[in-house]
Amino acid sequence: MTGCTRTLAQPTPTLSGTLNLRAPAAIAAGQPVTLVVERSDAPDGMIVTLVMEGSYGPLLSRAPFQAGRAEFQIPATDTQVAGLVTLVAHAAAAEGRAELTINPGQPVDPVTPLVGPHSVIADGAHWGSVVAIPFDSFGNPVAEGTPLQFRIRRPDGSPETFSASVTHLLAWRRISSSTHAGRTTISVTAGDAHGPDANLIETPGWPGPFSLNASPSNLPADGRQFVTLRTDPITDVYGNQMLDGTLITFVAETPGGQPRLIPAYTIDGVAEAQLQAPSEPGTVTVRATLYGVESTALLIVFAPGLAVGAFPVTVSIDHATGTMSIVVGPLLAALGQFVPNGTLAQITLIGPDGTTYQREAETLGGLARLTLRRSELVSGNYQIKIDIGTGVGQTNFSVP
Amino acid sequence: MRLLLGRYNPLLFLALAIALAYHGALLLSGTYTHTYDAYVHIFFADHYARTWFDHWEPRWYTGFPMTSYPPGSQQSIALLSYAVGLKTGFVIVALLAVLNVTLGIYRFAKIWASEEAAGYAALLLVFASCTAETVHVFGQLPTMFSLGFLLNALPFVQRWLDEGRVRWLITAWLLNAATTAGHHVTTLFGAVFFVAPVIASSIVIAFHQPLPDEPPQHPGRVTWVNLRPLIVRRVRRVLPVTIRAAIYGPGLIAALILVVLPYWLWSKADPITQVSIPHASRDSFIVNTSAGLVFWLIPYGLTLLTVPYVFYKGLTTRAWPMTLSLAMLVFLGTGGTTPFPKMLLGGAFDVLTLDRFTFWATITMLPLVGEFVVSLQHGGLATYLREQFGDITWRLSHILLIFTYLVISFFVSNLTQFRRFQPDPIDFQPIATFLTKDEHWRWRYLTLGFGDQMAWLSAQTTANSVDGNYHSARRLPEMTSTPVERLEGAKYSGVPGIGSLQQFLAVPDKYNLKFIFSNDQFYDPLLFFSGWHRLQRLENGIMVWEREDIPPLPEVLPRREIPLYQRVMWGTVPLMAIVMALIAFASPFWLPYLRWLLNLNEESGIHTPLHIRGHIWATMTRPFRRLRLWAHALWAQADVVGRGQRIWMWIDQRLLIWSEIPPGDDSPSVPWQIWLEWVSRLPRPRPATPTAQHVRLALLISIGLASLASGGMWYLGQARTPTTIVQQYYDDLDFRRFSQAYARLDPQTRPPYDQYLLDLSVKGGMVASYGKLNNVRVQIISADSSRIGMLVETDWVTSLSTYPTTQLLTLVMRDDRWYIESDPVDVTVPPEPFFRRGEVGWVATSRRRVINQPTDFADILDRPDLQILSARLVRHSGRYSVVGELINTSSDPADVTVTAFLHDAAGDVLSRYNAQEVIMHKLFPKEVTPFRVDFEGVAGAVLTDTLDLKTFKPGAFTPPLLTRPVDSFDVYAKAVITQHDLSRNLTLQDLEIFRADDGTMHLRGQLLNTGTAEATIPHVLLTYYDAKGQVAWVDHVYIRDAVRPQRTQVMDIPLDNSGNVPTVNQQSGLFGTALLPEVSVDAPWRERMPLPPEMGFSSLRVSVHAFEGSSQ
Repeated sequence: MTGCTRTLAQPTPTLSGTLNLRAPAAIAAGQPVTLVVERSDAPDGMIVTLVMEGSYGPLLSRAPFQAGRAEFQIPATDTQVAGLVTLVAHAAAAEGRAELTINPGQPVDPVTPLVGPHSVIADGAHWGSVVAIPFDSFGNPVAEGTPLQFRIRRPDGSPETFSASVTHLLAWRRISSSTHAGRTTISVTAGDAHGPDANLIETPGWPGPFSLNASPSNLPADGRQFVTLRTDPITDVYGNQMLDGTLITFVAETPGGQPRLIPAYTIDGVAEAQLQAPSEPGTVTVRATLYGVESTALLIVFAPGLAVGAFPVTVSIDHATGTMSIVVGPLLAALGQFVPNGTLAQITLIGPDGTTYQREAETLGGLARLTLRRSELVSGNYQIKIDIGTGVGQTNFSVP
Repeated sequence: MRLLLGRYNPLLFLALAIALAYHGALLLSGTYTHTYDAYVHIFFADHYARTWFDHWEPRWYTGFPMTSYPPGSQQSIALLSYAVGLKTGFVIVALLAVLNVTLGIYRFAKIWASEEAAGYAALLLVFASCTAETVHVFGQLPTMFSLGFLLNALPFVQRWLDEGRVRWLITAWLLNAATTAGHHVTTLFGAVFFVAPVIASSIVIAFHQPLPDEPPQHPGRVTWVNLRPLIVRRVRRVLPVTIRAAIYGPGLIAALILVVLPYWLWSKADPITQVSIPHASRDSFIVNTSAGLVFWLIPYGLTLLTVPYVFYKGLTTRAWPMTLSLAMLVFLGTGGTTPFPKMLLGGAFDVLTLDRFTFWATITMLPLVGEFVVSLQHGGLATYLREQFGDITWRLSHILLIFTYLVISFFVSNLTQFRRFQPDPIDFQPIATFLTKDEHWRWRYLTLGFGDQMAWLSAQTTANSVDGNYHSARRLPEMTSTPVERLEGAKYSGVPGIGSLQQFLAVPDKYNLKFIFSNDQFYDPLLFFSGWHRLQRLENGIMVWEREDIPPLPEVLPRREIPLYQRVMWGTVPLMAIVMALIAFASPFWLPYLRWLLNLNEESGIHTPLHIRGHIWATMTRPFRRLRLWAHALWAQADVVGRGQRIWMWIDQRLLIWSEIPPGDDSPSVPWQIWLEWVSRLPRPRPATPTAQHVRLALLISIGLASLASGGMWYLGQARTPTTIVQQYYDDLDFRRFSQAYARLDPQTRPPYDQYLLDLSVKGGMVASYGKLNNVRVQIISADSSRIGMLVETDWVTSLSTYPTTQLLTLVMRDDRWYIESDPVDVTVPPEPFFRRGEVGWVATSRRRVINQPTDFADILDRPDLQILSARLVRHSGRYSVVGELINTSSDPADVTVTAFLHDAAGDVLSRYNAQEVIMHKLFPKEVTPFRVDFEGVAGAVLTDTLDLKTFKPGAFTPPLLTRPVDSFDVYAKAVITQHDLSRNLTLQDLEIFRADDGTMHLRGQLLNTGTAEATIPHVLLTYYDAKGQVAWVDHVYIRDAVRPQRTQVMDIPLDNSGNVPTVNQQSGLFGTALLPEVSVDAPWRERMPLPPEMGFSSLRVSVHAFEGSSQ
């Protein structure tokens, strides 16, 4: 109902000029403080408005003048943010100003070191940085000049310690790599405050020359079996082994001069790959490469393989179906065993008019079979020759 | 109920009941989930259910306005979804739409046909193949939704024209408004094909109908004296109808415009300028018989048999205006079979889907088909059949027609079960969960191989997709400039389709595209070689592909605003129009009660004493009494009706006077349709004797059986020719019908079936696992009576390239049938029965502590150091490319992205593109990869591309549009640590460069797999160097066949014989992530093979990696 009543015009108390705002120059963060505004001619009951303009925005308080003095009890909760606070008091048209510095407290847990990059090459030239921003219990960055202790344990176990002071809110230090690959662990303390560790991974640098070995070293050139190629442990110039997964390419050159590229990656510093025996006997030269780096050459000798000696060839004609079957074999290798299934036999037919026909047949169970349509061949005498590895077979037959 | 049955046609109630049961059961069984459009409408409904008044939908494309499609049916679903969910809401709305159309066709048919025929028309509609196809195959809810309102509006239009009662006019307008709310195109074309015949019919009837006060004379001859009275007489007859039509017309246009006003404003402000999307309804149905089946034969179904009767009946009765409309609809529905629809429709031909004309044709002919049924029941057809063929034939024809009609209906309703148009239903919950998990919704996603179900996925998530299923709303140039309906099914859209998809895959960072959900292995090779990797297979079998190093979407996405009034209109007017239409339509049920309440009606049949009603009415209207009295006084003072009546009476009297014919000028009226007399003079066949009837029946049955037998014989003969057998064999292999393929092999030489399957199972590779047979050409090269040699050329398409293959096949004759001789099988035996190989595994834990907060600083991995060894801008085969080589100098594996920019002389960017296929994106530590960035324009933007839609060309290239000369270029390489797809198991062995017979240089060699997994698609990269060891050109080749562990695969690759590739610029900015070079670019390297001097390049490096398809 009061809202319906017309309000009578009240005389507004006037006050102008300067208010005397008394405040301490500095306090610690989280400490209560009393601020006093004085003006001897201020009427009792006149409201003084105090604005505290700090880093995180304004805080507003009001108190009445009483005997020319207005007192503001600022609680600890309003002084937790460190920094410069501008105090402005207003009463009618009068204004007073002062400044209050809230100092951060002592560093508290956790003091977190930040490392970047997380990994560098362990060559003494690459470096990373460690940075720490210690805070007090209210989350304020600690005061300039606050000393911090950095402790480092290198990959080889050697410790290092150094100090740095907080400057512009943070303390930092460049950390040069060592020449020993591994994990460098870094921690930082500020007074009694501690924190988690940070890691700088020191990785091996570019590798140096290395050598190769192979086993077995006495395989026949059967175009089938594998020789395991292996590098010696590959290290950088400081002896750090390459990390797992570093790509190495074995470059092999066959007796026919045809290159082979065999990719492999390191495990425990060693790269291992499979070299398939060539079909032609002779020496294979193998090198392992990585961009700009090359191993010593490794020579592997492959003895004659696949079929050896002479083998029989049988030709039969089936007049009912009009087909002709050529059966070659048994095809035997050096130990008298069948040649591997799927070995290609090169079959050459020389017709009565000297025409040459080339065919291929895969071996199965030591035999190579080829079926020809009778209608494909002209009548007359044919010579047939079969080559597999160093083995040869041949015969003659006639087509009626 | 008895009252209702008495008042209305029982066939109508039977039709409604059957429609409810039949279509209700089908919809509840989920037929709509296999349709083309149902999920799109559900997605739109989901939008309205989430944010009714928000016009902007950000989940598809890069956002689009919902005002681009009339919302009536979708808002109805949304409204129901609050109670029953989206899917059930769709079922209910679709079912109500079917019932509405059933009722509408009955009412529509009554305009043109008898009451009995109208009842049959309703019954026929329920089982019509066009209804089944529209609802259960196409899922075109708005078409059905709006058609029901349109059909129901037409009787009101006719009654307004004939009777002039405002009530019918308002009801017609409201129903037209509801039609527009559902689908504006139905109102637009409905005005021409449905409303115009009704108006024409009313005018013609009025034209012929003498007025009561009209002079009765009918002059025998038209003379100058009686000409004017005769004209005035007709004018006086048609003038009321014409005036009413003139009143109705603007209201119809207003309903068309105002109800979806924001749509019209949108289409004016943001016109659809995109390339039209091919639709098979515009094809020639003779050439594309599948289109003819779907868009012509199925919709008409059995009613095709009645077409002669329909046109005969229609053109000889009062239904002729509608029959002319039907003729036009039939004509337009033939699509591109003749050039005339295109000539008639002009540019609209390429925008409209012409199947809707066929659908409307099938609707408009139903009244006359109803007459056909009546005639067959007890009309002229029945008499003819019974007299000439006997009662048995007549009854058999009934049974046969009803049975066939029902079978076709059942077949079409379940067509999606027999012939899958959509992938199998997908459980989307795992995908929705994935998108929600770990804030994956902060990136865009894309689906592949989901079909129209992708819309249902969108309805279940708030994550955004670059794709969508409403092509009219596309705005990205990459999509609007192509006739690609969806990226999701890009492989069906020819060159622009895959080209459009490739752009999104190559430059995903541009679109914040990070995740792809793939339900189609066809795209796997393209994804892999574009730098994507498989993240995981979800519980529903969907593979999630991921691209690293993609920035998340910005917090605020752009949107196009419209004024508030339009948003309010869009959210209220269409639905209000529907509600008002339903209220008006149901007025026979509630109006008597209202009139009774208002003391206006004494015929309501409710006998309540007048004083009681007067008390009730007075009590209710007391607060408004003064207002009511004032309004009454004002209305009485204005006397609008009285004045209008007086003016009309004056005009009518004048016309009546002017229509006076001189006395004595009279003669009997003579019908002018002389052909009716001719027809009546045709001799009627005499009734046949019972014996003749039996003979004719036997003849009919014999003819039917003989036709069936000869058809079957012809089919078998065609299916057993050698060429057909070979084609079917490849077709069987393509569709994985292995048992049928096996049956075509020579029984005497083929391996056991198990062995055959085993042999097939070890054949992998791009063609065998990811290829789709496109073409088979068969040529007989030798033949005798028992043996045929054939040269078979096949074309296979994959997402990466096309593969022509040539194979010699021999067919042998066994037991009078041709069989294919089996291929020789691989009998080689790997050296080791058990093989071991050490491998390195990597795991990036991302967040070591499982929390839903941003990744801790300590858990963020460094970017691997990349050093670009060399790069240059070249112009090769008419296209700009940046080629080069980079090395991962760090100790961690890297997922690499290489981006190149072209600059003009002022340093402004002309074009930007990423290295897509010609690079190894996943690099081991210290590994080198060549790269080639091929600058491309927007796929399909070139006319020649769009003209060649039918041909799938995965490697098609669209040059970029460069407005200024290229001056310089920059290359940026960046990487993140990866743990995916790191394997190098292929050995290149016995490499040899030789000159082929045709003079071209080739690289020959073998790929040996020394790993433990099949290298499904080997990818060979060829780096050509100049004399300084700098990269001059980079080429690449996909090897067709897979390489199994411990096995070899021969390769023969034609080398680039173009000599020195012209270098445009070699001075550029090379920006890797390594601050300082770790290696010297001049270092010697044994991996380079020297090339013959005549090739123009100094050396060649061959590198290979592979997609391992079976690893996950």
